[in-house]
Amino acid sequence: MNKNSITHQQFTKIVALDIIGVSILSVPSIVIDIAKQDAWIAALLASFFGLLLAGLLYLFGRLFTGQTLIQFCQHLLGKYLGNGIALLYIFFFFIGSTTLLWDIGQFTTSSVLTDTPRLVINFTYLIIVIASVRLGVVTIARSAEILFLVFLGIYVVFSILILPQIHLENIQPVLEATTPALGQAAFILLSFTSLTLFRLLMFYPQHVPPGRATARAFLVGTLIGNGVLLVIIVLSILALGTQLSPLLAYAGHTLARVISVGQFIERIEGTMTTLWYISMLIRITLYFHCLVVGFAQVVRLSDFRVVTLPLGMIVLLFSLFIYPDFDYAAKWNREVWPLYAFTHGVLFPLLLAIVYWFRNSSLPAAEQKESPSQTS
Amino acid sequence: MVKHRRYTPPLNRNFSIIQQGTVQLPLRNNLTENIRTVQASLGNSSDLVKREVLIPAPFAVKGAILYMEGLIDDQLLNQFVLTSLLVDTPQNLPHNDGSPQQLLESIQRSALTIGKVRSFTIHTKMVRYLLEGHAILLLDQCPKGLALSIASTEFRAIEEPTNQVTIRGPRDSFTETITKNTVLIRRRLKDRHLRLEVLKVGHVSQTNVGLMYLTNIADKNIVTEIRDRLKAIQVDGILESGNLEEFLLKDGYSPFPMIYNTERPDVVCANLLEGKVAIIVDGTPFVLIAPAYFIQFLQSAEDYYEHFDITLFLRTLRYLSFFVAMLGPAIYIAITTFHQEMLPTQLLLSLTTQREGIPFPAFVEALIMEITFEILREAGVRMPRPIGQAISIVGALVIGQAAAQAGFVTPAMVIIVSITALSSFIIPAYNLAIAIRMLRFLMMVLAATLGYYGILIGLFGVLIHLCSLNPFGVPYLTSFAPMDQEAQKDTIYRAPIWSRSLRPRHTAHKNPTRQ
Repeated sequence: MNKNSITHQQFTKIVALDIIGVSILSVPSIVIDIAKQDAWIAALLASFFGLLLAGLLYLFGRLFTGQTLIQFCQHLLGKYLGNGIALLYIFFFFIGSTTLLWDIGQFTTSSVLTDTPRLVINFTYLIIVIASVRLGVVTIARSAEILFLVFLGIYVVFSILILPQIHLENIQPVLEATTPALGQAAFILLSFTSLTLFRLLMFYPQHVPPGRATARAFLVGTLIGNGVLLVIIVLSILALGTQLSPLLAYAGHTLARVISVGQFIERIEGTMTTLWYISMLIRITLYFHCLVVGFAQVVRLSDFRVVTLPLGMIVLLFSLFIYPDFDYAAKWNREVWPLYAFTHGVLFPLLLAIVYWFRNSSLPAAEQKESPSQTS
Repeated sequence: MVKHRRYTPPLNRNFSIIQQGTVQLPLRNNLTENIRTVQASLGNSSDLVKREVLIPAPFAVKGAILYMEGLIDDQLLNQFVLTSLLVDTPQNLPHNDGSPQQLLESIQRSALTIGKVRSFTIHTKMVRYLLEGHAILLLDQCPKGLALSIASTEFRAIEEPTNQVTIRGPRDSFTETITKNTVLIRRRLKDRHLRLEVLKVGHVSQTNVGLMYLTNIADKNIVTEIRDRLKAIQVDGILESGNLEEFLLKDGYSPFPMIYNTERPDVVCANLLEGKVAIIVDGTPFVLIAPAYFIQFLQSAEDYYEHFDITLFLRTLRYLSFFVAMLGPAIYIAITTFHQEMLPTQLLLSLTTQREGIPFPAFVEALIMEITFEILREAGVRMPRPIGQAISIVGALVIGQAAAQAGFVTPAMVIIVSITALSSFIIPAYNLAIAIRMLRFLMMVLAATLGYYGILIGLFGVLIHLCSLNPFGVPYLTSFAPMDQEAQKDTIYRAPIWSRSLRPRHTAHKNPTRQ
């Protein structure tokens, strides 16, 4: 067994947890705000496009022949243009890492530990992220596997406990939302789920060789992730209603708060928080892994571990003020982020694929290079 | 992270104290001179016994028998060595007027009625044999000697296991003698593929270390790696298998145990059948098993002897208590300090009333109680048996009644500490239990500073650490991560034996089927 390879099961779970990622807590309110009680249709739409995207990513990754996305850019576009695109990607990873870490701090200081400075929260969380990135891809994959089990367990129990609180009339009337609203909601949802899935190209062809099983891992993972989100959105609509949900910053969190079984199982928002911390851990770790490995490949370091701490410090610092406040973040998430993610997740890969297609005949076969991340 | 660096076996530095010290000489012809050299190299040690003999006519050759007192069996010496030499030899051996050297050879061939006889020509070897419990036979005018294996077999008898007790299961346990221990294993696995390699480790102690594995099942790379690591050990003495354990795992730190130790032969056999390697150290009843998985430390031998649904129940209990033992006080601290809203109102009220007169914050309270408990436990373990009883009385009074009445701690805290303690006793492997005991304090600190979030961060940290461990190239969390469908038949749930047709994937891929 290759030491650096990830099993397909592990890859499936990484994809699923990554898709769930940040969305489970805050995205339902945005989607419900736009599409009202038809948000679930938007979620279905998003799942459909998510599957499409996952398939395309799989095919795109097959072109890499064992390289990462960054190496592919360099190989394909040459030193200057290639590194330019690579730097754009790295900046994207940087923005991703910092904003997600800001989310961690924001949510924790507003809902869990109200008196604790944000720096402490971000710092402790980042320590875990840095540690897992330093320990290597295999460690990340294994922890994703265990975390997925925990996640699924808590999630199922949570979903069952919420059932007594649902009101079916909340979802009626069906199909009231306009098509543009549905489209917008689906697009926003997509930008938090599958549009950023291209980060997996930083280790999909390298640590998970292409093949039927990998394609299936992409699709099944996308299905699981979107399924989990769909259920959360449906439960939010049913239990909280379309009036309340959009007002809440963290609808998922409030959803857990309304659970009340036999006057004993109450106030179990800790479960939801746990779910969120788990999926966030995988998501941030992936972002940070891409940031670190990508950076190491651009500046041609032989071992990416050297830059984990310095880059970690920069991320930590920026995570404190990347958004000035929650409103700014909400606006950014709705208006800027989807397009930003679309540019990097669809446009650039598309352009790269086209360039590859044009140069295909003249380009020598990509050499299988030993990359820094293979030394883990 | 345990890296498995491939060790290059060191150059032939087969240290022995004799080589370093005195002689690397060949034997001489003169008997007295030879004896004097031996005595000198042992510093005229008073337990070196010299018995001079004269092989009777028609040979009439002077000789000597040397041995270390107590290391050999006197009865064997009298019955099979002295009798054959002094009584039978003259009658049985062919009487051609050969040299003493030929006489020695015919004694080796035809006279001695014992199993293992080896000849040697240099002093170093002779001294080594002496110290290993051989009797040495030297003849005058002969530059060669015989080492007669009549080592004393006075060992502790095989007794019941004291640490890994089961309700049902075999009642024998290992002793301090390696030969007896290997016999216990051989008797259970009568297969020609069962291999025993004995190495000597420790240049003073010269401890026999046995490597046992089933050659048709065990992964060759793992066996080679363990052997190389054992050979690479440079130390003066190995007194317990724990010493070896640290050498085997020296390039990677973890509080979690990565080599299993057991005193039960049945456990060793079960592991050998799964393709693992047993390391038996002379002088200790604890046999090491490598590589060990995490789940192994939550299993008990009895799980396989009782009905499988009982096992499911017991193992669920163990996994649960693993978390209770690690998180019990931490969760209490987190809830009472940060997240009172998580408790149902009634319970919260009752807790608050209890806490009213308590002078300490919850964390200090928990810390005091936990440390008190750890002191009591350690005292109980080290005390001689009769006094040990007193400890439990003091413990029950101090921890339980008095502390609560004196207003130091809340009764709720007492309950938490007791549950935590009991949970850590449920864990079958002592070394894993200790690891959890230590982590518990870390979790308490995290809970006291960051509440529920802190506990989660702590758990993430532990998880990532566990995921990064690869003892001897096998993932430590195997059967959970990487997920293994087949291995689930023996993880939390144990499937009936007849349905478990496959061996663990990582250690036994050479010969994967059981049935």
